[in-house]
Amino acid sequence: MMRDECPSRRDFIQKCLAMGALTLAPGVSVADALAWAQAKRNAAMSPTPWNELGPFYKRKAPNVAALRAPGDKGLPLSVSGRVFDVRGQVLEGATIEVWQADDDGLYDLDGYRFRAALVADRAGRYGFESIMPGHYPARVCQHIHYLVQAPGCKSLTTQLYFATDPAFEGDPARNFSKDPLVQSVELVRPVTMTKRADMSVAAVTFEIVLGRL
Amino acid sequence: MRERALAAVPALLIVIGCGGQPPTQSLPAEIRTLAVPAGPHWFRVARTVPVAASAGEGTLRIWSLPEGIERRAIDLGDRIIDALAISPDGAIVVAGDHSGGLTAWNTASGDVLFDRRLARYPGLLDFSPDGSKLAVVVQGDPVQIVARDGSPITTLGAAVGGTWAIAFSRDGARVATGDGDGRVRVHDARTGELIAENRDLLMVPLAVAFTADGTSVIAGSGDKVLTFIDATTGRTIRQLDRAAQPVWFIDVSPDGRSMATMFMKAENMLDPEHVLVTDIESGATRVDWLPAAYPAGGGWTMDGRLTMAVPARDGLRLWRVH
Repeated sequence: MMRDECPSRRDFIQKCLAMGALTLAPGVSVADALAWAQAKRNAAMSPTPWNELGPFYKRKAPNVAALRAPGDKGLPLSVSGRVFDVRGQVLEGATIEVWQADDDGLYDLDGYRFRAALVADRAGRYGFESIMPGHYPARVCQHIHYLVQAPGCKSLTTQLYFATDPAFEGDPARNFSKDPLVQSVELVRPVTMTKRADMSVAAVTFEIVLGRL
Repeated sequence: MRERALAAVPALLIVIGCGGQPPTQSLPAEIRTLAVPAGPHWFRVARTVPVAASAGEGTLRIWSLPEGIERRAIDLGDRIIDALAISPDGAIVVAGDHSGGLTAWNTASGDVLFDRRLARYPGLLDFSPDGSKLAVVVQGDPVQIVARDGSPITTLGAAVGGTWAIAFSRDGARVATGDGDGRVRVHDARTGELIAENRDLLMVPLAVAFTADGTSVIAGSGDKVLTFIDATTGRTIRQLDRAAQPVWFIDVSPDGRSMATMFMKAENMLDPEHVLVTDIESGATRVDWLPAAYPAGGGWTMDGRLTMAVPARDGLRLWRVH
């Protein structure tokens, strides 16, 4: 686990004081300012909402970012994000396990198709190339399952949903609960269509915030 | 294990002899229809008395079996039920709903015995065979073991991904869990202490059951195998032949000789899959039954019968599977 590549809050406050950008009122110490900054940062990040694991999680998925194989049906999908803790520290080395249905809404139970166990890099970044999951018949929404773990943090099971899902009828804020398992609209992420080489790719950013133990 | 094409045939029945011997068990038979509105329902049978509970379409109902007489109806309002359990003596019924409510009623009087809020919605509720303890599995949270009156007894250690299957030993002293991290764990049901752990499964154990003598735990999962685990050491003892689908439900008969297993159609878990009655010792299949719809629930009773309820347009159809 490492801090983000930016000056420490103490350095930053000292610099602001030195340059006159910050003036402390009488009776307010640098420590007070630091505590304020810390509290502000803590308040800024709340843990990513929980969502249930689902029955199809499988251990020992491969560490591969390319879940999409040549010839796979479905809209190509690129998912990326960073992993933080609630204090805003990036979590290098966090493990991000993802699994999803294929374009037909089927999970691979016998192998590891559309399953991966990724590791966050120095900046907490992760990413994978897949396809937009099909609709599993017993669920309302398209989704990708996540299990995220990092030392010193609470493990998180959650699911990523897509604002373009027809189930939301164009208004996820109003319609997210049509799937009773979607308990927070925060998990419904906007989709950006991009052009790569000769194909259209849906791109989604999904930042993860883990609670501290 | 079975032909895919058979899934389209309603209530198809196959009885398979063991080792060339003719089948010794009776054929599954539809015995009654419980009059409930069409829609999703839960159904649970009391282990030691001829009483059952159903919940769905806004009403909790208590039934006398096998006549199918409705003894009591309790209005659930708009609560969406996620889990249902009835005590082995039929005296208490407990329901958990999607907003995290957990309520227990006296089945004779209809009085509320306790009413609690959980952190999240419950995934499973299960009474110990003596009825003294209730396991409350809250999705993504540690399992709570409570007394009949709802007072806390212990909380099991948190498992990554939560708990997906639970069962007490016959003496109620231990509880086995199938956990999201793929492990089967055996705990002391009074202290919560971990007794044994099995890490051999790759996928989530979706069903667990103790053998009658309490020496083993039978676990089923998306690995599509039934695994027998030593309840003291956690070691895998044996595995039955690989099945076509994940195992979703296991219940051991009162005499300990047979087990009922219900499979999950992984392609669509709301579709029906086969229910088997298997000889535990030999692994031979005694009954292979494909219900017309995904069963609302059921189980063994002390008279040695396996009863399951299957939703239909005109109500819940009761089947004597064994």
